[in-house]
Amino acid sequence: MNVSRREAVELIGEAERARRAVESRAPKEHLPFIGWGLFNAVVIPGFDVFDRAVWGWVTIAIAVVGFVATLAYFATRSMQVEVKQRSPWWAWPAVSVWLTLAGLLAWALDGEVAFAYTVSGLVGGAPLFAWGLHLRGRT
Amino acid sequence: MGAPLAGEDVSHPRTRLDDLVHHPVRFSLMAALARAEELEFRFLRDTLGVSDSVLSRQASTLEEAGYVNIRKGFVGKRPRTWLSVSVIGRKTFEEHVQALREIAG
Repeated sequence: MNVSRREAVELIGEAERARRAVESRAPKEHLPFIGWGLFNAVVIPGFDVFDRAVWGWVTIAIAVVGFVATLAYFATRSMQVEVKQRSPWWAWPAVSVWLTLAGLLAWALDGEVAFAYTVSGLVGGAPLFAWGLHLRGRT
Repeated sequence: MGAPLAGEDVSHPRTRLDDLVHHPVRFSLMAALARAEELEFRFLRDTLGVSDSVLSRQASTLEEAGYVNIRKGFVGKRPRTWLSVSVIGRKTFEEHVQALREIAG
C-alpha cells in the first residue's frame, strides 16, 4: 500500500478531527465537581449573612436545580459518548460523607465561631473544586 | 496488514499499514472510537457525515475482522446501537496511525 506524505498528513488531520468531535460531545467529568464545589463555597456562607429560614429554601432550590441539571447533562451526553471516568467509583459517596461532615462542622461551630457556615462551606467545597480543576487540567 | 512485495523494504512504515483500517470511512470510524469507551450509532453517523447504511456496512466489516464490537440495546422503548473498539482493533489502529506519522515525517 502506497501512501504519500500528503495523504498521511491528511489522514492524521482527520484522526484529530474525529478525536475533537468525540471529546467535545463527551460528558465533562470535572463540571459537577467544580459546580458543587462552588455551590458549597458560595451558597452555604449565605447562612451567616441572610435569614436562615429564607436562605434554607434558596439553598434547597439551587441544590435541586443543580442536581437535576447534573443528571440531565450526564444522561444525555453519556447516551451518545461513553468515556472512561477518571474519578474512582467511590468519589461521589466520599463527597457525600465529606459534605455531611462539613455540615456537622457548621452545626458544631455555630454560636462558637463567627461565620461558622462560611468555614463549613469553604471546607466542604474546596476539595471538590480542587479535584474538578485537576480533572479539567488532564483533559 | 499490507503485505510487503518481493524486494520491498520491510522496515518502511507503509508495510505496517492495515488494509482494513485504510479506508476513508473505516479510518474515521476507528479514529472516533479510539477516543471513547463506546459511541452511539447516530452520533457516529453525524460525526462521520455518512448515511446509516454506509456506517452500518463499514462497522459490520470491522466487526467481522474483530476490530469493533457492536452492542444493541434500548433507551426506553427505542432501539439503539453502540459501537466500541476491541483490544486488537485499538492496537491495530494505533500502529496504523504511528506508521502514518512516520510517513508524514
